Amino acid sequence: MLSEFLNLIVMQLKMIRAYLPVFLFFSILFPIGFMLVFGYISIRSLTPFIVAGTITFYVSIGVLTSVAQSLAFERNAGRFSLMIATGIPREFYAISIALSNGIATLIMIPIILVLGSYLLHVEIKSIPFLLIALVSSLFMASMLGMALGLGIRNIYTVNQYSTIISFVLSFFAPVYFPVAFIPLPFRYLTYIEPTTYVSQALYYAFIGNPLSLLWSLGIIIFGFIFVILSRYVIRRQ
Amino acid sequence: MYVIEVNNVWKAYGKIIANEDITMRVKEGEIVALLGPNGAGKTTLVKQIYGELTPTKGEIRVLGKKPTDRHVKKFLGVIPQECEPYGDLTVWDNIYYMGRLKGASKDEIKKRGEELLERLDLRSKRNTLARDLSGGLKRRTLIAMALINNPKLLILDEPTTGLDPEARREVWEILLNMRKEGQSMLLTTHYLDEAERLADKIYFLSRKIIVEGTPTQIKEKFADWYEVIDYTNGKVYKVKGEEELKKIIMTINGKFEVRMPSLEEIYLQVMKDVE
Repeated sequence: MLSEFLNLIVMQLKMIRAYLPVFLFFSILFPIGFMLVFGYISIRSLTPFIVAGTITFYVSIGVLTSVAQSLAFERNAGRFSLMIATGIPREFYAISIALSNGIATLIMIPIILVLGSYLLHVEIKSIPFLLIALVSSLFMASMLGMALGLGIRNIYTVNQYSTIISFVLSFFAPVYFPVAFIPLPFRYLTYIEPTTYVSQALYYAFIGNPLSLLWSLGIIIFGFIFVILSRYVIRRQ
Repeated sequence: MYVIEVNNVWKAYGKIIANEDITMRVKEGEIVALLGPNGAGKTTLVKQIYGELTPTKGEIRVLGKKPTDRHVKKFLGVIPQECEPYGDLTVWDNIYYMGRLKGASKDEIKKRGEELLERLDLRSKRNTLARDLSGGLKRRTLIAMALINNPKLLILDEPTTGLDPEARREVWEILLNMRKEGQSMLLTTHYLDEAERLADKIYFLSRKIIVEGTPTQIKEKFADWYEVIDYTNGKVYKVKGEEELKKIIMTINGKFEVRMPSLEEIYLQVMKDVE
């Protein structure tokens, strides 16, 4: 089973070549634009939030949206049936798509970090905290994408909702600034948005504060909630 | 020996019944066609046979085991309805990874894959991305993917739907060649000519099995009229029974043609009676 799963991952990664131009745009040009625009109008002490926010947005678009849309497309193209007929469980196939998207995103995140250091002079004080925050974020976003991609039957609806949700989670949550900037009682609402946790975990990792781990724990909890949701959706089918 | 045994299978989605008390068999080396209009429950039944869905009631055995058994699936070749090969992979990669997923070794895939490329006339397209292929070539790639593990049973859900007449003929030729080699097959179709041309046995399906038999048996059972075309005046007579037929023929002074109803006409009549 492990060998089949690894072959699935390799197969998925091989297909990523097909949308390389979009991938490179989102990986290099897009972060440069974001960091230049937001970086020069923000106060110096909060520039780590600009890098954290850009990564959060990138995770949201690059993982959540692409996992949801890839899964919806695969189902529409009859490939879930093909895989099930081959003896690959539905969950395995969905996870392989989610993981390959997550891995591809993880590979490109160092570019954003290098750009952040070069353009905004944001240094990473704790690499372990950062890695924990990143891996948990990719896991959570993949699982949310999976729940969306499998839960909604119509491919066009999946495309629309995944795009809307990823933008809402990026811009209607405190990802480019601290949570404390949001007035009460609205601040409580931001705690139900997983991107709040992603951005805060990344920010605290940049400044080397162990609070990053607490926020990462929140991300992992969200991730498992989405796993349960996805499993429910798969079983219902 | 039966490669597929379906015993009193029911499949319901809430109050909607998709399959009602279906019993059918597919023998080794036999091609069986499930024929029915859209929404007749053909795909639902096929999905239960390759283990994507489970029956609400009844039992299915594929190669003597439950269809959900992972080991059984390694001996199957399946082309689901409206399925396409991976567009962003080349023809070879599609075949190769399918082989790997079915547990074949790299050497086995190389040997068998090269044979299939040759047999299905795909060699020149080996390194072409599947998305750049025509409908017929995509279907041939899917057939190669389904055959890479040398399956004991091939399941094809509407293998020629959406193809142009030429591509349909190409797929037929491939399937007929496989039949000569003794490949067991279950296929669904709503093309009567396809079923008549390919199948050893046909099941008319409209939620439940309406009619079953070989194409000849079905014709013999249901063809109770003849069509006589009198070429001297162009008149067409529809007559019932052999006695009536003889009488009409005796009255014709010149060339004429006698035709029995086609499978399509029988099918339409049977389905009309069901409704």
